Amino acid sequence: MLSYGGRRCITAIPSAPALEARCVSARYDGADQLALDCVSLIVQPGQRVALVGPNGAGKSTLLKAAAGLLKIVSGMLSVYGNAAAASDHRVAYLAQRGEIDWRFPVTLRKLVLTGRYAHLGWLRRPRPDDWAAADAAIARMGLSDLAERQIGELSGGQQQRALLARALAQDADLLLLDEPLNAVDAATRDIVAHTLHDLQSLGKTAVIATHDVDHLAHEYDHVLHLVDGRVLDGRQGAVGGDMEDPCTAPTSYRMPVTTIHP
Amino acid sequence: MSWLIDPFRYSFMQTAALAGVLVGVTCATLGVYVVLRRMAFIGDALSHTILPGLVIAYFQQANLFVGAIGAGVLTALGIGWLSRRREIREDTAIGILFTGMFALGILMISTVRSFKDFTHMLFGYILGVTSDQLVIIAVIAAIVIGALLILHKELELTSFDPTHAQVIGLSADRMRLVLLVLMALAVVSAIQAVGVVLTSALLVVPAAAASMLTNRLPRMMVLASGVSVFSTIAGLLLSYHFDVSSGAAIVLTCIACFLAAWAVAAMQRRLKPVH
Repeated sequence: MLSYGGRRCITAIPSAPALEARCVSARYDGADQLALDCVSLIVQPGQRVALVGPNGAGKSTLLKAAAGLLKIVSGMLSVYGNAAAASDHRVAYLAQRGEIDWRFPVTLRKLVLTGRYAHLGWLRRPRPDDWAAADAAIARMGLSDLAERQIGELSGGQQQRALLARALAQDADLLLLDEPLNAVDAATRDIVAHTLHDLQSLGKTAVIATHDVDHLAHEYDHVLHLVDGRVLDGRQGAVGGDMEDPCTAPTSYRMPVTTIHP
Repeated sequence: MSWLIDPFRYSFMQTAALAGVLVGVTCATLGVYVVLRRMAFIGDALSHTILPGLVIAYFQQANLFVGAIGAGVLTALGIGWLSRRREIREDTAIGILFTGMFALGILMISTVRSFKDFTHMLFGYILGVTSDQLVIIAVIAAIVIGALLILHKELELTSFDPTHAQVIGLSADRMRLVLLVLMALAVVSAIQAVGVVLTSALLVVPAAAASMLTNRLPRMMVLASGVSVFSTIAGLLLSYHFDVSSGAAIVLTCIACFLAAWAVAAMQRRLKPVH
């Protein structure tokens, strides 16, 4: 297989966390300020972790860095023990819906099929089992009737489900979801919640940036509170809703970093 | 019937029709990406920046295609480089590059006395296509259409979802560069048919017409090719019978097709309730 970006199918390192950040800092091109300022976190395989915090706190930036979309300035960022962006097929990133050109002439089925491309690489055309994986994911999201629709004809919630279907079709181990519940209908909200639950029982990991702080306590294993590019200890900040001033918050609120044995 | 068939008894008309159809299909299929990715302005710029390359090749008695391909590929790489740095707005950068290169071409032309050959560069001379040029046009058609087939899924994905492409390791910037180089090649072959000034019409208009009628990518490419082939043949006939510029006749037929497609789409919208 001629994989994209010359990457190999890198095997996960046993007992490594699904996602580990050690004092990661990142900055967007041309910006003076750091978007992430020495963020550390560990997400174990099978966990569901929510990232919460005000706009501009670095939730999206952290997901982008983990997806390999943004180079980090300093620190260490690894996915299943390998450097971020090295294991292409293992990570699925659901961007905010605005990052896709929904007017482009492709069908929902084709959009979901692109989740298989990481497994195909250059030159290889999708095989029948790739189409089958796409169709199964579409059915799971309750979108089978809409499979031949052009993607712009879908509602916001249906588009969000289509993106989740693509992540399922990709069969990724780590899902990075940026605001998946932003402005979607109740049906989509339920399906997303159920799917994340099902994925967890399959040992898949999910990191979700969200504004939706209502059910945080029971829907997620951990809640991480980001403010100004720094992580506060979630269980205190998010559930109670009391926002610590990042400047005066004691450093002990930052996530502890434990040593990982490779 | 003889009105349609008689002109094509002449071998120069046969060559022109063959060249026109090859150029038309090349530009129309590639043009679908140009339209969907909003690169129409770049297409226009590419055709204009090629002029100095053509003129230099003419002075050196070299094959005009060599000069054009050189200038075209250089411009494509230059645009790709400029747009990646994002220091100047991309359209501004292209506007500077495009008018600058075109002015340079005109300046070089004005140093010679005879303008006849240069008129052909500016406005095309499809009736004068030689068999050598026909071979190059066919090779370019094969390269462009072959690349579109082989790289279909990558070009499609990076066009509507560059972020997902990037996550799985497929560089959207690199695919854009591929597209720019293919555009440069297509433009070089189109210049022969309709000239520097009207070339971007072949890239944009048939694809725009097709985009009015369908929202499926492969179907759009086939429809655009159909519009292009029809316009080429119709344009050649009009040019033959009424003794008008062949390039202009081809482009105006394309525009007429676009207007017809637009009217059909507007009627469909009127008849079909919005769901």
